[in-house]
Parts: sequence; C-alpha cells; structure tokens
Amino acid sequence: MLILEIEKCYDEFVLNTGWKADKGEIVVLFGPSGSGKSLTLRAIAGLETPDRGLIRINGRLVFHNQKNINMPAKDRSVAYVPQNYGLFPHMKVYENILFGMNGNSPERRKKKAMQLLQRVGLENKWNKYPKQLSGGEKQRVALSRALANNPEVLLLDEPFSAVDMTVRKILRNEIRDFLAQWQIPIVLVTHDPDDLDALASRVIQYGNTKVPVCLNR
Amino acid sequence: MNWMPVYLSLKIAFYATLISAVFGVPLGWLLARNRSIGGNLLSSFVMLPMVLPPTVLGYYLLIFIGRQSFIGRWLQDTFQVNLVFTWQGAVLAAAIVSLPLMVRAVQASIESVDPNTEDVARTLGKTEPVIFFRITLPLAWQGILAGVVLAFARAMGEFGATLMVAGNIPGKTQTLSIAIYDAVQAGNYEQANFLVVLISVITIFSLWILNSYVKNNRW
Repeated sequence: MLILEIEKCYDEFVLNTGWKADKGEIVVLFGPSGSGKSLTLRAIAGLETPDRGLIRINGRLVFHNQKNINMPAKDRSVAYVPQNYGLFPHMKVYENILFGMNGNSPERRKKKAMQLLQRVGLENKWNKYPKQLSGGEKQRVALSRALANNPEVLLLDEPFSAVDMTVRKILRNEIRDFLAQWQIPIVLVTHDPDDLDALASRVIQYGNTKVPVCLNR
Repeated sequence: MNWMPVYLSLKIAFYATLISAVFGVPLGWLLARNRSIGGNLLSSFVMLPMVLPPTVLGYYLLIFIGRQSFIGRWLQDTFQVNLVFTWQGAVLAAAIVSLPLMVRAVQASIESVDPNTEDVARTLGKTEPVIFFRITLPLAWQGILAGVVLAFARAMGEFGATLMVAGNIPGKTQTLSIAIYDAVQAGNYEQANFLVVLISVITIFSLWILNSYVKNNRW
C-alpha cells in the first residue's frame, strides 16, 4: 500500500495532494499538463523533495518532513518509468535489464533477465540496442527493467505519449494484462481520457483544486 | 633537421592534456549539473584563459609560480622544484590555456545526456558514482574525446603563455610554435617550412581521427 500527503511550493504553483493506492490497483493521476502529476511521481520515487507531508510504502516511511525522513531514491524500492522510457542507449536490451538487477550470481541474473524478456515476447531482441526497437518494444523493455527487482510500487509517466493512436490501443490492453500479474500499487500519469476507461481502478483528478497560497512559506 | 622541438611539443601537449582532462572532466560535470550563481562564477573563471591574451596569462603565471611568490617559494623549499623556464612550466601554461576547451566540451556533452536515464538508474538502486561511471560518462564519452583532441591541439600550438613562463631555450623549452617563430626570425626558412608542415599534418591527422571515430559511434 502506498499512502501520501504532500505539498510543494513554487513561485506560481502549489502542488498539494493526498491519496492512497492499494496492492494490484492502478491509480491514474489525470489532469492537464503542468498540474503537478509528474512531480507527484518524482516525489514518490525520491527524485524530488516535497516541502511538507509524508510518503509511506507498505508501512515504511520513506518521507516525513517533520521527522526529517527523506530516503534516497536508490533505497525506496520504487520503480519509475519516465515519459520517454529512459532506456540506456549505450546498453543492449538485456544489459538494460541486467543493470537494475541486484543480488544473485551473474548467471542467475542473466537467466532472470531472459525470462522477463520472454514474458513480454522480446526474447529474440535481447541483443538489440534501444534505437533498434519500436516505441511499443521500448516500453516493454522499460517495464521489464523496472520490475526486474520486484519493486514495491510502480510509477508510469505518460506511458503512451511516444506512440501513435493505433499502437496506443494495443499497448493499453497489453499493459493492463501485464500489470495484473504484479500485485503492487501502480500509479500512472496521463492527460488522455481514453486511458481512464481502459486502465484506471481509481482516478485522482489534478489541476482543478487551486490552492492559491502556500502556508508557512 | 632539428626534431627536438617536435618531441618537446608532443611531450608538453601530452602532459598538459592529461592535466586538463583530470581537472576538466569533474569541472565540466559540475558546471553541467549546477546552475547556481556559484556555478556561473566558476564558469566565468574557468573560461578566462580563453579570452585573456596568452601573454597576460603567462605574466600572471610568472607572478604566481615565480620565486618571489608564495607558491613559488613553497615549491622551491618543499620539493626543490622551480617551474619557471622549465618544460614543466610549459606544461602548466599549456594545461591552463587548454582547460576551457576541455571544460566546454565536457559540459556540453554531459548536458546532452538525458537526465531521465540518470533518474531511472537512481530508482534502480544505483549510487551516484556508479551512475556517473556507467551511465553519464559512457554517454558523454564522444564529447569528452572531442575535448581531449581540442585540448591537445591547443596545447600543441600554445605560444604566448609558454614563451612567458618557459622562455625559448633550445632543447629545453623551445616548442614547435616557438621554434617556428625563432627559425623565421633567423631567416632559416628550411627549418620553418619543415616544422610548419609537420604541425599542420599532426593537427589535421588528429582531427581526422576524431571525426571518423565520432561518425562510427553514434547511439
């Protein structure tokens, strides 16, 4: 379970949000661009520090401003797939997945990486570089890499923005079936209303609750 | 033909490039990832050798490392090292002059690395040094190599600051560019032609190597 209650102030913008996500649930953060959706994801991942509030993952406090808790991103066990997937362009597909895997012997890691690729039907592309893949294939590699370490939360930032409409439809179904296998909270950011019907267990609306000033600034 | 200036220039440029890489890579990284006021100040300071006349730079260096200065005296007393009128002094001058080229190239190439890749690596449990050496550096490698070649070429051609700090001692501090000037002054055009052709070939060759390498290695 993921619980958060955070606030972050900028010069002309305040992010103030609070919600929770259960195991196996896909929570969709929906709203126009610039409403702080991606910022929320980055705060959960530990890539951005909120000014106030708390973030709790499966009972672990990873951020609490009053208790001075701010766990670095590397220790949070949160998987993050950014908008353009953030694949490492200088590494082959299987190296991308291996990079994120901790523990075990190198042989077992490699075996697991190949299993993950099989799961998304990319076992014959293991030796390719990211630039040789299609948009959908890139996404599947990014997902496999993100899930390779059995994270406790999965964050997806605009997962379909890089592909065209027809591919988007196929990917939505694919991703839904794929994600159903992982019983962890999944948070997905989008501004496309079609994503809501196809994927959302729950929708958090962004951008229409204006908080004009920051408290205690 | 006198090959000594060629050997000296290559040696000086080699060490100068090494020094400017050792300092230039971390500096370029720092400037690429830090846009504060301090970063701006540092950036201006690092770029100074590019805009100052080399003789002015050489004069500053003389003041800083000469025997009258604090640093010069400390070097002399502790290590018995005197940099003025030595090839090591020429290395220092060439390193400082080529540093801005190195820093600029490194900074630009690190800025071009997608910060998302570094962020993903963070969420995958990687520490900052691991991210730097396995993500940032390999992705910025070509720009860094370009910086190395440019710095080397600049160090090879260095004249003004070197002359001020190291002088023009044949066989000791007389580098290629100084030897060319010297040969022309003395009316020895045979030697001048030889050195001019040689330095042109070396420079064109290093740029050609760089270009063909970069062309073959794009992600």
